[in-house]
Amino acid sequence: MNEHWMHNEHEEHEAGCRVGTLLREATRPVDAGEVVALVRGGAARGRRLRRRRQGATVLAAAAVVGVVGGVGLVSGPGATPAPDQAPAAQGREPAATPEPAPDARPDAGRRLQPVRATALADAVESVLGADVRTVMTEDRLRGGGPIADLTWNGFAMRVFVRPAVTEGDGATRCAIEGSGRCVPVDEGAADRLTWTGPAAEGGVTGTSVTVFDDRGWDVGITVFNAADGKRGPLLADQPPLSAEQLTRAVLTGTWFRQSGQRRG
Amino acid sequence: MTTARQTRAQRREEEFEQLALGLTPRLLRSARLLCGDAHQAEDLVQETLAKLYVRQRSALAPRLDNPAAYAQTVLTRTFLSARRRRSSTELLLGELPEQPESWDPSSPTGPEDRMALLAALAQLAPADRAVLVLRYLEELSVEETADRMGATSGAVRTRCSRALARLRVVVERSLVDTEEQR
Repeated sequence: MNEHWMHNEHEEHEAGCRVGTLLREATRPVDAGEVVALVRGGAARGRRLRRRRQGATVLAAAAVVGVVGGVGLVSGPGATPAPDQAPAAQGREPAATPEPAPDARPDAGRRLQPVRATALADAVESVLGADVRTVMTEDRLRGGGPIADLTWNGFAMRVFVRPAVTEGDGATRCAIEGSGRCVPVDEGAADRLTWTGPAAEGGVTGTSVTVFDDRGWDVGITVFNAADGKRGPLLADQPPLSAEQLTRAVLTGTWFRQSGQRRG
Repeated sequence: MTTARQTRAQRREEEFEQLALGLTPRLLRSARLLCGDAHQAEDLVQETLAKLYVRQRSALAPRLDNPAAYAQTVLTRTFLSARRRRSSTELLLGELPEQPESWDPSSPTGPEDRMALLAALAQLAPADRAVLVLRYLEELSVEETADRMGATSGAVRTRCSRALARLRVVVERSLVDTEEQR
């Protein structure tokens, strides 16, 4: 078919060189501002990706601990102690309660329990009003936190509560895990971000606030200017709630069960 | 301890930023040719940088010897993988038009030629496009191209010949112009 065009390797090499020249000339110069924006966006996506993977690792570790713990329980009471087990462990005195493992969450935070995912819609309605409907709920985000995809007056919204997986107070965790736009808030720091997706996918704009609190919890709300967070059609130019409004909503504490309240 | 951890994290953030600022212009040029669409290209570059970020921040993974090659591999494979997923919606034409509709012989690499090249590239299979970009824009060897794409050297050679053949209209004109200029 094309035998007449490239008779030998020399011709192919020449054609390749020419294509290289054309390719270089076909790409317009890259603007420095464009590069900075891309790097920031890439880093923010990287942080989110890393958080998701860390969450998955915690879940996997929890599963392994559960399995090992289960094996321990089966073989524990009444089982013959191993020959090399320390005598103190074999004695009749009850063993002292072990010190709790180091935890990123201070005591007050450990006592907190987030509401169930199915209750997040009610929590949103109580602080932000409007017509709130549940699209999806999941209770096992990062080892126990709830997450829900909702619609708020028809606009897509995501709400989550998750225990911290990095150490430190809210400001420290926000600096490590956030998008680089941390602002101090009561008992922690808030990471605020507004972005617009690729035009090819509808150019949906999202406004997101995640508060990293000093008690060891991360609470986040994202609201979009479309009914679907990933693609258009757009319902408005901008998301219906500002970062300031979302921050105030997150800081209400509605996302945790009150003491004595039953789960869910 | 927290301060030391925070300092370490900030240092890693700065290292990533410096690295990414250096790599991004080249990644973006490749992405534009691969995707043929500015927004998709930016999305591809951001996805690549996000994966590079995770890799750089991983405590378990060994340090990257050649971050530029790693980023290029991620970009190429992410592009190919995404195109495989959406291949059912892609329209591939069997033959290129014999003549670009508007071609100015006096401008060997003018806007018309560039547009013709981009149009021709858009009609190639994604893997063929990737081969051309890696071989002739990035000037990689056949073996390096195969490594970036996760393919064999033989497959790269075959794709390269085929892709060049499909671009023959644009390239032939360009070759003719070069001869005339000599």
